[in-house]
Amino acid sequence: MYLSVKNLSKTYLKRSGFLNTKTSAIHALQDVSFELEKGKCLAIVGESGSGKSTLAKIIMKLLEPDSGSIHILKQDVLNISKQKIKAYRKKIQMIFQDPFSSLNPKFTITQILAEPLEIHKTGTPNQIKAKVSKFIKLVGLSDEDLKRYPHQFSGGQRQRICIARALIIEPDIIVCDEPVSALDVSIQAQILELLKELQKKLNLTYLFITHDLRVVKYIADEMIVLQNGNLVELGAVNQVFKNPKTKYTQTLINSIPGSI
Amino acid sequence: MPTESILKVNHLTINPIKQVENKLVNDVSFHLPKAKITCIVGESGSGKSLTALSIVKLLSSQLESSGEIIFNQKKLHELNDKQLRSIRGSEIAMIFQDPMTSLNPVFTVGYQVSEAVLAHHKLTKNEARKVTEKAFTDVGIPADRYDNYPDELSGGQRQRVMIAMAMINKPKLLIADEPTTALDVTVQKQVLDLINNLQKKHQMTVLFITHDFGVVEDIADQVLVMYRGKIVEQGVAKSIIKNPKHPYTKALLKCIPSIHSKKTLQPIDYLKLEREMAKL
Repeated sequence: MYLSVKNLSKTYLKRSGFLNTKTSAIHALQDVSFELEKGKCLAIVGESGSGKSTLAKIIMKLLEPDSGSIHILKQDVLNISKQKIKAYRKKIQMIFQDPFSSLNPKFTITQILAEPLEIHKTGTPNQIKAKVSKFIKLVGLSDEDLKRYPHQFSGGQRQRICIARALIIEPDIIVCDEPVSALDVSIQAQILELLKELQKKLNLTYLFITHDLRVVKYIADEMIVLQNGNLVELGAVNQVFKNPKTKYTQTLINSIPGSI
Repeated sequence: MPTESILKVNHLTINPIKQVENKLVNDVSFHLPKAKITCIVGESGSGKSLTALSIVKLLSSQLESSGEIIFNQKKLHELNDKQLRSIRGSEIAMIFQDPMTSLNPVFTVGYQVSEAVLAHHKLTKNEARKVTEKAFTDVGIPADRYDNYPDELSGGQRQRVMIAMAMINKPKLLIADEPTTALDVTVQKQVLDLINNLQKKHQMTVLFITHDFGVVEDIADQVLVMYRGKIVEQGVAKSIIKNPKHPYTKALLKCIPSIHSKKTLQPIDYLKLEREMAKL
């Protein structure tokens, strides 16, 4: 199996009361396990507070879990040495929900796209320039746009820039944290189409966090449903929609507005 | 339409001050049938929120509007600020998109809702508290939440507080500007059901702004589709969704992912759309 997550748990401590003397535990993730093949898309579904972003952060190594393990191919992700962490980050990239706050307003698009290449020292300035130009076209923008600043773009265009930035160091896995929920339906369709096309072209593996089951149905192969940190559903998307195992998943399906 | 209309908007045009050519809303006319839910659908920048805001004259001072807005025989566009204040929050109420920012964090939610009562009725504070607690239970919030601050409530509960505040003076018209866009799907469903029930119970007219045709299908009787400041199609919601006439409505319906089929999404091709619209 390409990606395998086993028995992942994470507890946050919340302090309250006089001088923060009382502590209470919030179980953000409890014993979560799943597996994914290369080139597939796994949707991570849940409401706010279900632990889906915590899971993404742990996989990105932005957060340490209390227990459990993550393996990508045979590599033990949680015990990567400090020297190798940069190489790991090259393999896995993230696209965030809000395209308005995830681009540096003082950078031009060239600077934004070149930065990951410079950090990972992937080539000469000329090679970097060529690559920036290649990837901006890959996401449907043009060389003209490279001179501009983030505020000169619309939400959908900014999300395209975020996608180009994530892809430019040629990662294998992309963690998409609600990449379309801040966008209008028509723009959402463009971005979903783009993500799907790129997945095929570059053989990417997606971990796609969302709360919109219509999006899940459209883009994902497999899905897991989290509720209060517990994994309550796991399976192929069509199977889960046809035959949800838990009442909670059924509730989520019933909450989808309309019947279009 | 045979039903009586409660609000008529005639030739509404909105543009930034001194930029008459730059029409953000361009000659929009519609009416709202009494005790029905009307949805305005459109993308960002289509002018749907501006249209709604201009009904109660809450437009930014950088914008100017012209046209007639007639609510219950009253010409709203001719009223002064004081007269408008007596209508806002009592006869016409509004709910906004983001429940996180529409409540003041330094006052309790109960105090903020009771303020809306006291602004329009001569009551003592204790009486206002009773009315507020009743309004809270009506929208499904326990009455003892009165003394909580906004940050102690979840997003869905905050939106319920906003609905309680809007409903407390029994408005004839409720304007809801994307009230569920910031919420989770399950919470969205609860809030939509709540608005639907309250509308039926009080025979209230609702103007509901959204960009999601799924939501339209769930709650709307009538729908107005806006594109670049104009209404391009209007009519009975069910028939428009089933059988859209205008190319923009068709395009908009095609870009919603479906749970029933794995159809490919068709993002809107604006050049093609403009060409088709020019032919009309």
